[in-house]
Amino acid sequence: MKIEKIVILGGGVSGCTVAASLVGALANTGIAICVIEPGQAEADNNEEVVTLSPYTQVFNESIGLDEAKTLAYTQGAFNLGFRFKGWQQSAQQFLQTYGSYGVDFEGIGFQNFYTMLGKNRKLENYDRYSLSAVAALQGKFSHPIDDNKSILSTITYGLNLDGRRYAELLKKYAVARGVVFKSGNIIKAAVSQSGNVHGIELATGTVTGDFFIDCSGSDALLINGALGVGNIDWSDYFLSTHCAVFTRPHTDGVPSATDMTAYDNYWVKSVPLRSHSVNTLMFNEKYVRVGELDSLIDSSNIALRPFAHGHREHPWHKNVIAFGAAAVAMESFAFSSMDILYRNIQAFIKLLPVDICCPVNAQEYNRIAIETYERLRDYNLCHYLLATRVSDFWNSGSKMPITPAFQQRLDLFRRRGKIIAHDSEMIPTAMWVSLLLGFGLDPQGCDPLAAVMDNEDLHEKIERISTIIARTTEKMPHHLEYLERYLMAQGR
Amino acid sequence: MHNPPIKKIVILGGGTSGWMVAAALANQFKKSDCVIQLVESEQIGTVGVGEATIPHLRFFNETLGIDENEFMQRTNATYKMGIEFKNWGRLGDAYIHPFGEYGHEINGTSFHHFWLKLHRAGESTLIDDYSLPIIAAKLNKFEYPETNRRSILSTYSYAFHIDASLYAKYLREYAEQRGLLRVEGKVVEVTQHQSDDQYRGFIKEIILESGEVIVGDLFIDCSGFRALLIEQTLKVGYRDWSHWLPCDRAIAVPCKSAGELLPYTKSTAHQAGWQWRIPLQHRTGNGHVYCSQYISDDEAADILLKNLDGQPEAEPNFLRFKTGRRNLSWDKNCVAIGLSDGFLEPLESTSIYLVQIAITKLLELFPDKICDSVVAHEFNSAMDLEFDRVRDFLILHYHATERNDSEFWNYCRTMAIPESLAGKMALFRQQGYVVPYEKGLFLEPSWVAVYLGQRVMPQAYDIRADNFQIAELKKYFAEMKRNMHLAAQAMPLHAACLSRNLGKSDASGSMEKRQPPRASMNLYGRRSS
Repeated sequence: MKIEKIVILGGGVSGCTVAASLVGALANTGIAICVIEPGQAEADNNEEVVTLSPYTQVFNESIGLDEAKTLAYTQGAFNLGFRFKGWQQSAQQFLQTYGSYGVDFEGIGFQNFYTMLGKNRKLENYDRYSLSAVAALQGKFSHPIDDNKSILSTITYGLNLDGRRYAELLKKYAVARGVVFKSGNIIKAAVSQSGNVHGIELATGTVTGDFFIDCSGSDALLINGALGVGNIDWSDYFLSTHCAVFTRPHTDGVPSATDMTAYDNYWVKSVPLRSHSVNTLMFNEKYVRVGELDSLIDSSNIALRPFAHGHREHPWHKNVIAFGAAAVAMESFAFSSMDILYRNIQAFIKLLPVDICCPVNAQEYNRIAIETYERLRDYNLCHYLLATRVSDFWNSGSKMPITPAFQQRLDLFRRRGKIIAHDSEMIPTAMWVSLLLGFGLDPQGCDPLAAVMDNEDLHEKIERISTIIARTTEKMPHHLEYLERYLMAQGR
Repeated sequence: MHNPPIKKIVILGGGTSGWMVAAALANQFKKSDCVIQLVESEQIGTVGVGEATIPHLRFFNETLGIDENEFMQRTNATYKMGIEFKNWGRLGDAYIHPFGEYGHEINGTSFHHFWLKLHRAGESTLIDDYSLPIIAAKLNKFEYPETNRRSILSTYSYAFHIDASLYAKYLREYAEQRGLLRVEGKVVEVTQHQSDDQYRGFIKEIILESGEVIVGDLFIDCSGFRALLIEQTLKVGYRDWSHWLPCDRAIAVPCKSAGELLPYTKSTAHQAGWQWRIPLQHRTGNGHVYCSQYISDDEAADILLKNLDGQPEAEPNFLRFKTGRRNLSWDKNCVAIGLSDGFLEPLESTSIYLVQIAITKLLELFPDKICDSVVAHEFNSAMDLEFDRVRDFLILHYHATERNDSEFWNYCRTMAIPESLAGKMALFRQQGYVVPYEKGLFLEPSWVAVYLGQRVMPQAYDIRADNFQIAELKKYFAEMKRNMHLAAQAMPLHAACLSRNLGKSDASGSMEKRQPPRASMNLYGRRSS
C-alpha cells in the first residue's frame, strides 16, 4: 500500500520539528501530513527550554527561520558552552565550548602541545586557549566574523530557546505549507490485522493514515501503547531517577553559557533564557528525598518528574516510528534530545518508504538511530564516570558499565590524548577533548610527532594565543547588551 | 613523555609497499634522530602488479613534495579517470566506474533517484551521460579538473596508470636522499625478546645471510605474501575470504601498445575470472585473475594471450594468492603493510591505496618503544574497517550478475555473501538507498555505478524525487547532458594532454601548459556539500 498520508501524534517540539522537516522535504510530492495535538496532556515533557547546538542550527536555516526572529519570539539567548562547577574534588571549574581551542601546528592537534608542554611547565587551564570559553566565563558574546586570520572567527555558538514558543514557530511554518493540525482527546489507536496502525480515534472522529509518527513523549501512545514495543532500560548508566524543574530570574545580566553544577547528592543544569534561567535538578530518590527539595530550591514553582533512562527497542516498528521522548530519554549534558532528533529525522527522510510494508527500511533506520542513542549515552555517562566529587551518590558513578569500544576510546585518550572520530560521529572531536581534559583525564603522552618540535618556540606561540584571547575578550560586549543591540538592528 | 621514543625503524622488504613506507617515514623523520633502515634482497622478486591507482595517490605524492609531472615521467604514467567493466552483469554489458559523481544532488536527494524516476517513466536515458569523467573517457579525452566548485569541470578527479616497479625505484631514491639506509641481504633468522618485561615477544633483531644483525625498535613487515615477521614469527593468523572472492591466481604479461591511448583501466570478465588492461606510456600491462578450481593455468594463459592488443613483451608471470586478511595488522612492535597484511584482488585498484591508508594511520598513531596495545588496537580496527568495506564492494562485482554461462559465474551468482553486503543490496533494491558512511574508500557514487552497471535495479526511488514533475526533470537532464558533452568535447585527447604536461615536443607548442590541481583524499573530486 502506497503512503499518501502521514500522521504525527504530538504537537510539542518533537512533533512540530518532524512536521516542519517533512513538509520541507515532501512539499510537492502530494503526501498529506497531519499533526494530532492530544488534548489531555502536554505532548512532550521537559519543554520549558530547548538547547540548539551549532550543529542543529542548519535546520533552522534550511526552513528559513531567521535567527533574530527566533530569538525574539522565543525569549532566547546565545549559548557559547557549558560551565562545569563542583564535579571535581579540587575546586577547579572549567568551560566546555562549541568553539575551537588554540591553533593546530603542522597538522597536529593543539591538545598535543598542551599536554606535552604541560608536563614540565606551568600552563593556564585549557579553556584559556578558547575565545568562546574566555568570553563565556565573563558573560560576553559577539557573533563570529568571517575572516580566518582573526581570532573572532573561532567563536561557535548555540541557542537556548523557550520550547513552547519554539514549537509555535515551527507549527506556523508547517501550517503555512499545508500541514493540518487537529486537537482532541485520544480514545485509542486502531490496529489492523497486519499489525499496522491505520487510524487514531479522537473524541471528535477518527484520523486515518498510512504511516504514523509517535511524538507523544514518554507516554509512547503508538509505538508502545498500540504496538507494544518495549524499552531498553538504561537506569544502570545514569544515576538520576527524577528531575525537578524550576525557573529563576536573572539578577545580573544574562550568562552566555549554560551552568552545570554538581552538589553532594545531585546536579543542576541551569539554562539561561533572556529574562530567566530554566533549572533542572537531577537527583536519585535514594539520596535526595522529594520532601527535601523545598529546602534545596529557592522557588515556589517546582515541576517534579520521574526520569526513566532508556530507548525503544525498535524505534521504528511496522508503520510507526517514534521520535523524541517516545524513542529515547536520557539526562542531557552538552548535547540534547534535539541533536538526536535532527540527525535521526534526516536518516528517516532518506529511508521514507514508498510502501507501508518496509521491514528493510525499518531495520536500517533502527541500526542508525540506536547507534546515535548509544554514542550519546557513552558521552553522557562520562560525566558520572569521571567526576571525582566524593559522596555516596557520586561514588556510585565509577561503577558504570562501559562497552569495549568506549573503553578503547578512553584508554587511547589516557595514553595519547587522542580522540579518533567514529564514522558519522555527532560529537565533534574538540568537544570530547575539552570534556575529558576538563574532567581531569590527563593524557600520559601525546603525538610523538609533536615531541620532536621545539618546546621554547611552541611555548611562546601558545602563550601568545592566550594573551590575544584575553585582549580580544576585554573588548567584547556583555551578552545582554549585544543581544539587545542585535535584535534592534534586525528590527525585532 | 614517560616512555622512550622509537630510535630505530626497520622496514623488511622493498617492493612498492616497502618503498612507500620508507619514503613516508624518511620524510616524516627527516629532522629527527630516528634511524630508518630498509632490508631487501635483489634475489627476491616483487609482485608489483598494482599498476592502476586511484586519486588518493596524488595526495600521498603531494605530501612528500613530489612533482607530479616528474613522477609521471619516471614511472611512464598515463592518466586514469575510471575503470571500464565489460561482461560483468551480462555478456556484452559494459559500464565505467568513474572518479566522479553522477549529476548533482538536489536538496539532499542524490541524482540517481531523479534518474530512476525518469527511467521508470520510460525515459531511455543512460546515467553515464551525466558523468563528465565517463563521457570524457569514452572520447579518449583528458584534462585536469578545475578547483572552482561551481564549474562542471570540478566534478571529477583522476589517478594514474603507473609502472609500480619504477615507482618503487623512484621512491627509493627519494628515501635514500633523506637519509634512509638500505641494506642488501636475505633474512635467515628473526629473534624475539625473551625478557620477562613489557617487551616480551617483541621482535628484537633480524639476522641476514651475511651474518649481519639488524636490531630495531619498530619493524614494518613489507615482505609480501611471505609475511616473514607478522606471520612466520608472530603467527597472528589469517582470515580466509576465498569463499567470497574465489579467484586465487593471476598471470601478468606486458604487451606493445596499440591504438589510441585510453584514459581508463579495462576490466573484462572471462569464464572464470577477469582480465585487466592498463595503458602505460611505453606499453600496456595485462593480467588475468582467475579461479584455479574452474580453469587450468594453461587455459587461463591462453585466454590472456588471445586477448592482448599487441605482441607480448615478456614471459607470462604466474602468481598465486589466497584472498583474505591477517587477524592483526599490528602486533607487538611489528606492523604489516601491503601483501603481508592482506590480499584483495586488484579489481578496483585498491592495493596501493590500502598501503597508503596504513601509512597514514601509522603516522597518526605512531608509537613509542612500548608499542602500547591500545594504539595497536586502534590501528587494527581502522584497517579492519577499510578492508571489510573494500571487500564487500569487490564481492558485489561478482555477485551482482546474471551470467550463467559457466560454473564459476553460477557459483558467484548464488553464493552466500556477507550479511553486511546483503543488507546493503536489499536497501538499494528497495529504493536506491546506499548505506551511508564516511570512512572507507567507496562511497555512494561508486556503489551506484556498480549496482546500475550490473543490473541491480531498484523497485522505487527516494520519495523526494516526486517533488519534481517529469517534464521539469527532462528539461534539467537534457541541459546537463548537453553541457557535459560540450565540456568533454572541449578537452584535449589523452595522449595530447600527456605530451603537453610532460613537455614533449610534438604537442606542447600549440597548447598552453597548466599546473596539476591540489590533491585530496577523495575519489570523486568536488564533494557536494
